[in-house]
Amino acid sequence: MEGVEIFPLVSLLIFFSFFMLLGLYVWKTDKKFFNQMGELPLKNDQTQDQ
Amino acid sequence: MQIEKFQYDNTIVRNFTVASIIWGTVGFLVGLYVALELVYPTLNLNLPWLTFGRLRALHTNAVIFAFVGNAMFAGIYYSLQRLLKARMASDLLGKIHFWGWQLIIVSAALSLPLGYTTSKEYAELEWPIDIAIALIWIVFGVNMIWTILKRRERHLYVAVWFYIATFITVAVLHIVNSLELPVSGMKSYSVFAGVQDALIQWWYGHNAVAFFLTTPILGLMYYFVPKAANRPIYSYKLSIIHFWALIFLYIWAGPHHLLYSSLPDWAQSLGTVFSIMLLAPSWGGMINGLLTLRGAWDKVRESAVLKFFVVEITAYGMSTFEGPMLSLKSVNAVAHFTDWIPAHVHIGTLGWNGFLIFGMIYWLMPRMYKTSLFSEKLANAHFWIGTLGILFWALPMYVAGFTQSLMWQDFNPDGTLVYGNFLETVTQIIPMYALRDFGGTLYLIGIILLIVNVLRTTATGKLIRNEEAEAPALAKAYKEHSSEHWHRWLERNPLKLALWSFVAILIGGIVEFVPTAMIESNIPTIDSVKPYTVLELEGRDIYIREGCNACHTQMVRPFRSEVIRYDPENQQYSMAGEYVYDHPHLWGSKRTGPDLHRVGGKYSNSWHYNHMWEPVSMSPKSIMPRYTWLFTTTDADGSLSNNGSLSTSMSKKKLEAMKTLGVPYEDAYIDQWEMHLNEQAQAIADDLNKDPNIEVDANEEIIALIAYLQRLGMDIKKSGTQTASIE
Repeated sequence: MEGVEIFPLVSLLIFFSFFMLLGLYVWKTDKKFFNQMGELPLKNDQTQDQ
Repeated sequence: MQIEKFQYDNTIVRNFTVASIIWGTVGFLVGLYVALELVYPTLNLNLPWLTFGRLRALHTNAVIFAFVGNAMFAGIYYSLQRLLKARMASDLLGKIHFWGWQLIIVSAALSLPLGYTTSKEYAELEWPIDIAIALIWIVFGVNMIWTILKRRERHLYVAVWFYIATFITVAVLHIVNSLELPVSGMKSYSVFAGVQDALIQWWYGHNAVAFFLTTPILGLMYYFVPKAANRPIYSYKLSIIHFWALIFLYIWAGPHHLLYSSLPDWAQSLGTVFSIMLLAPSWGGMINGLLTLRGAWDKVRESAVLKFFVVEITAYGMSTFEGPMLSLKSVNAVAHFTDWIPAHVHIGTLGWNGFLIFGMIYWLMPRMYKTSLFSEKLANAHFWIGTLGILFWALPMYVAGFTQSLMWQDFNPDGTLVYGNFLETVTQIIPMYALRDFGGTLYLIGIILLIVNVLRTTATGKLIRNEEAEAPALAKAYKEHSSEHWHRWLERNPLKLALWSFVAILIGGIVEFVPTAMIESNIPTIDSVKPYTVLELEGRDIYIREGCNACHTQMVRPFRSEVIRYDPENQQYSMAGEYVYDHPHLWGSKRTGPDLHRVGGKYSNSWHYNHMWEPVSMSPKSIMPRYTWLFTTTDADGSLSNNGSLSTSMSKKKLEAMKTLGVPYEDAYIDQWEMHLNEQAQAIADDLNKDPNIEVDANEEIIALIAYLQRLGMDIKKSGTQTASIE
């Protein structure tokens, strides 16, 4: 197979762009939303906690 | 918004929990038993069903799929319902899942000791059971996704993404790695051969660790640690990043099981690099877990549950640091094939998996039974005994690993090996095996304490089979936030989350496998390498049946210490082209006994005969068990005590199956299979019968096994191929 070197190059590009975008999203999102999501498991306690 | 009343199903959670405890105990017992066999080889009582080779797979399957598997399902069914504020979509699917899974475990417990095995690690179960696993797994996934679609909580908490990723990836891994061509009801051959089979196997094997033993457990951590500590996870942001990084990177790490093997270099390098990168997202998980307890460390002092959680997260951090280090070629050169690897594995399994499960059970059972834990003291005792158990298990194995590895590489000034006899490196570490057995016993005692505690707890309470709950129904229309980003959209769209997770995990597999399969230069052809004869094929299947690959490897690495030890005459390390007809590959992962890839022609037929009959007769102090059932034996009065005849009823089918898979058997050869088999067998029997102490029939299984062993490495001697420079 000719030019197999393109594989790692493309992978690197995919990676880099994905995580740059992810990083941007995480940085820009409102903190309040994340705090709310973090509380989710604690919100629906029907039974007594020990 | 209308408040809807519904009920959470606790019965299914309780059932999976009980199953996990029972199978866990069984799995630990089998583990202890096989570990003891290395110190007391006669423990197999001269029975084929109890040898290390056959039982090891029972231990690994029991602890991975039965102990962790059932516990994972228990935790998922409990947390998923509450995070989604919805009962599991179908009680019936839940029951099918539960009973189907237990049936699979029972079939494993029966088939593995009987020798029905594919030899592929953590995928030993033969094809009918593989199909059952796929079906039950789909039942689980359908129920889970259906529940997600019926949820009353719109946003998916991080634990749920981990569950989704688990479901998808395990399905892909299992299906691809189980691609095998059946020969009979319980026998099949992998469609892949040699190097490709090894790559697929360890793409699967490592990701069985990643997506069966890690991602679902991370999901459980993200639910149960906050619940037990009563505080939210440290950083939700971090969980988003480390989730995607983890599932993206983990898949590529498979080749780190194949460093310094015949796998092409570029694939090995990818495995190393991605394993190093994997440290970051793994530690993201550890950090998130541990820092959740910031400000609550005083609670750890009082709570056995939190103690278990702290140690398990720490063990996770340790193994996910050790793993990347072991993926560095220089470290791997020392560790591979030694006990260092099981040490690493058991920090993860005993610490990360076991302790999370124990903590979860101690938290869950009192709540579901609306009572309090019978004895916090007993739970604390379990914690301390279990922790000691982990230390006594792992530390001796580190010592054993270093010792054996260094002994293998020890040279005299004149260039000869100091420990030319492999056995010397084994007897040296037996005391370490004994210490490890003590550790395992402690850990087993721990789970017995858990059983007592749980039984007494449930006796004082009553299971809330269906737990009342209420929540507003989900609004049909969703008002988007003004600048909504795609990730939040993904969190609302489980199917799309599933799809993109699927894409993410596929990339690594494709990039690594496609070039290995399609580019011929990755597996250079060696002309002198020919298919196995029919007798040798039968012998190979005996090797697989008895689990010989659990103690013996077939991969001479390109180290001077290895080529001198295993191929003193021609000094050739193992090459990719030698394995092209190996369906499945038998490279092995551990050298409890020596490598066998060049054993052909090294010993006489009668040496092998005597060795298999009684290993200590040829190798004093050997810990290998006797394989007397391969021989036809008679009592003193002449009556048959064991029928060791080789069954040839499937020989022709096996040749045809191999031909279908691409092994170039000629039709003429296949038609005349019986003649070829008898001819070769008779020649070996005649040679053996020359020895006055030996009386053997050509149709005994031992003949077939000897034929196979004597073939290993012979093709390469004929070729005169010189290997390139040795590292």
